[in-house]
Amino acid sequence: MKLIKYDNLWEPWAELERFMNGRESLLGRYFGIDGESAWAQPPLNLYETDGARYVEVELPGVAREHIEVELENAVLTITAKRESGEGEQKAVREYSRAVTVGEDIDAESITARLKDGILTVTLPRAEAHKPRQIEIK
Amino acid sequence: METSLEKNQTVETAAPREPEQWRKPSYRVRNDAEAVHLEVDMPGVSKDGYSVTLDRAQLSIQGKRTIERPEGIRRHRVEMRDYPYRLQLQLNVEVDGDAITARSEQGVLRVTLPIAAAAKPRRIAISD
Repeated sequence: MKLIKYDNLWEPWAELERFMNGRESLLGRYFGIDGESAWAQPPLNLYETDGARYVEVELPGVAREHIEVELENAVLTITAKRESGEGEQKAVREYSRAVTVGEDIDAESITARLKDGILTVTLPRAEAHKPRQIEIK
Repeated sequence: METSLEKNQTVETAAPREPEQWRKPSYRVRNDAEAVHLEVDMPGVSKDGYSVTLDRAQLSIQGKRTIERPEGIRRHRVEMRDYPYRLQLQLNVEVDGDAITARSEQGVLRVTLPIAAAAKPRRIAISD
């Protein structure tokens, strides 16, 4: 007997996510041009190992203190602000991206690292959810 | 004074068996009387992964992504690939090739191309 909760653990709420992100991407498409202040959706990669899930987001030129990472109801939200130029040429660009990461995450152990404009969020799986090798006797 | 950089078609090398995969980075250009300032977004490229070359009027910028990832990963969604970045720009103003400077920070490469003395605007004195 198979017990499959979701077809794809990563995207159980894919539709909702598309809806949530839709506003940003639509605005970003029209106003996300350089120099304008608007929301933009940065690209991301999702991958996993047996022990953790990883969300990788491109945030070039964004300072560490201008990034916020939040997990709520199995949805990881990353918001960021990029400031460029000075004086009259100063421009602020805002990024936001939400992604479903599943419920089997140990929320206390989430870590995030920013290197060369790439933010990597590591979401360790809760012990109970890690795949276990069953010994055959 | 107005200067601009024009995009140039990428020159493919002779008879590639497979089309080479690369990514064109987004960039911004700003200039003042002294220099052309170029800002190129190349997330994932560390300080020693860049190359900037100037051949006559053609400026080539490349960047190789090196992102540390654990071993044995399974990919679920890939919206960005690790193709090298490549940007080729045709300069329409003469720059001082020896004085070009570049620095990178948080995945952004900033290149300053000082305008050659001969190309700077000159005020011509009008005599009686």
